[in-house]
Amino acid sequence: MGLLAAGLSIGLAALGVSFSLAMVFQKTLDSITRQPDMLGTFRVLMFIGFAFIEAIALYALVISFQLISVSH
Amino acid sequence: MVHHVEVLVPLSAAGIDFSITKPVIIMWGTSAFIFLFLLVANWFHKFRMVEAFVYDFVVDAFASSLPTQRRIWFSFLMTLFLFVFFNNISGLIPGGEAPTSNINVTAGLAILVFVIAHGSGIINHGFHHISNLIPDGVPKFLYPFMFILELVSHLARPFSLAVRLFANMFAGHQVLTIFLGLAIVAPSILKLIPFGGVVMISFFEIFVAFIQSFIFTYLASFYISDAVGGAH
Repeated sequence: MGLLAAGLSIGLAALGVSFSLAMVFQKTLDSITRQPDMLGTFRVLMFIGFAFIEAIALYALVISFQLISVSH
Repeated sequence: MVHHVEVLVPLSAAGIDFSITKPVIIMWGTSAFIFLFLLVANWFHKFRMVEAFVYDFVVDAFASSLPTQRRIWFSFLMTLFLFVFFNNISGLIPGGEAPTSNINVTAGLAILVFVIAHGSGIINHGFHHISNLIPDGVPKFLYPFMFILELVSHLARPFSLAVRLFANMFAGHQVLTIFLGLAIVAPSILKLIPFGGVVMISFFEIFVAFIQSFIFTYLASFYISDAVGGAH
């Protein structure tokens, strides 16, 4: 049961995070094609957003590791 | 817990554990390395370009967003950035271990940032620092709710700061371990597939080490400028 919970935890988090990361990169590419002069600004903002969103998947990964170590 | 910390010199006083562990030694090593790096960069003309590059990067990315006393904050932010970055990178050296993949280290850094941000807010604004928690343009009857809301968000900041850095470093190393385990159990020529994964993840880890130290310092500078410049 703990193992199932661990798998669901990281799986569902990865689902949401991959959608939102796709949205971030898509919007950044849109903005760059519209305003190529602002490339530097967009790149920094994109990476900041990327790190924030990615952290959520990693929280879930840590939780699933905890669940695995508890259920053993 | 998932941590296994190698204790080298067991020490304890007044019921508190002061043992010198492997991460402690690595942190001393990275601190000495940063000190020597900047010293050598100052001596030799050719290395000064590297130092100037780091200096410009920190000024552009973090210190420029602070309203006052940029000189003082710059030294703190540059120390924080270099310390976190080299401690992240030290996990990729064979035999090494990233001290930031231990939650005690990241929690200590996050509490340091929290205390410095609010301490400087109290020094600069005195008692008004508490009323600065509530943003502008909020109707008076919402003040109690906003105060509680902002208090919770301020208290959650060091927690999220610590867990973000810890989880990134820890998860990267776990993924590397899993790929290495696959490379050990895979039969003959198929070992190359997980090995390629190890190489790829290692390069990605360098990128993550940089991004996470950038984010950590960026958020620290944001919290400080929020506390120092919030005069209204």
